[in-house]
Amino acid sequence: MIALLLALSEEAPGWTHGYELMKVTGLKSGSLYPLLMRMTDQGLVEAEWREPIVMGRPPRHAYRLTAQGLALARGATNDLPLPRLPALPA
Amino acid sequence: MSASLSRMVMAVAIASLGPHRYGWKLAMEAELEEVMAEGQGLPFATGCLLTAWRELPAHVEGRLVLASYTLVLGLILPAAALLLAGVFAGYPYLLAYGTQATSSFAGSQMLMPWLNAGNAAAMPALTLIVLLRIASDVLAAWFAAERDWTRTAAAQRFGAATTLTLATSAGLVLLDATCALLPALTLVLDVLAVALLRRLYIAAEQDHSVGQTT
Repeated sequence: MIALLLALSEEAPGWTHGYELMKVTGLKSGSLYPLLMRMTDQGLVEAEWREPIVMGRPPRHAYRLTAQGLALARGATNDLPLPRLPALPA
Repeated sequence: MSASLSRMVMAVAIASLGPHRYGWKLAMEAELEEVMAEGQGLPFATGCLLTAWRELPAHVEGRLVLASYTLVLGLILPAAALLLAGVFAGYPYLLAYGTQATSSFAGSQMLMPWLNAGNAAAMPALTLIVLLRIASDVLAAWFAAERDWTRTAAAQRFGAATTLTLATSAGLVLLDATCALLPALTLVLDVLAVALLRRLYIAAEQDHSVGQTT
């Protein structure tokens, strides 16, 4: 969920499609969609129908974080452990 | 081939998602078109199918589907398989215990040779009755899974008729109707399972209609 939150927050306030989120986060559709559903139910993510870029394809769902989701993403970023730096020479 | 398989898997996934996830059904379906253009359709559709199945216990419709398949696959079809196994095992439950006991009591194995020959001649007919009973069970399971209660009841009435015919025929031909005990027992199980399933669906429909009116 944190990977998804971070991926969505990097795109905020822009919209992202499900397949792009899969590529960025490395999540499979079997993990991504349950997360998106739960996060939408909890009001963290909002979804919108977008017209397709390629003619003849159906409209696609696009996702972005709500204000509540953005706040959670910021909190998650702050709570992330800092990367370990190599020890300084004495 | 892969595209049509992906669409088939996605169709099952969409059918498994409840009506409250209607928007998500369309979203997954639309995304599949994009994903298939990059040749990843089947893994994507499989993931959506797993999502849909994981969502089943989360909504009333899904819980009813799970309950019906549990009863159909866990009770009705195993009962039919038990009867079929009995047929393949050479009718262990169609032995004429009464005639054997009579012969044994009289101390003669050849006391009623005409009855033994009659038993042998009656076996194909009795087998056919049991096979008809198994067919009625399979049909009842199929119709129950489709919630076609009228046809389920018709299949079960046919099953009851074959069981009664089996008991009567075995009673007349073999002088022993105990061979109908197992079919009768499985019939009772089937009827109880379908009655339970029907009650669950009626209760869910009532809840749904109450929810709509309030």
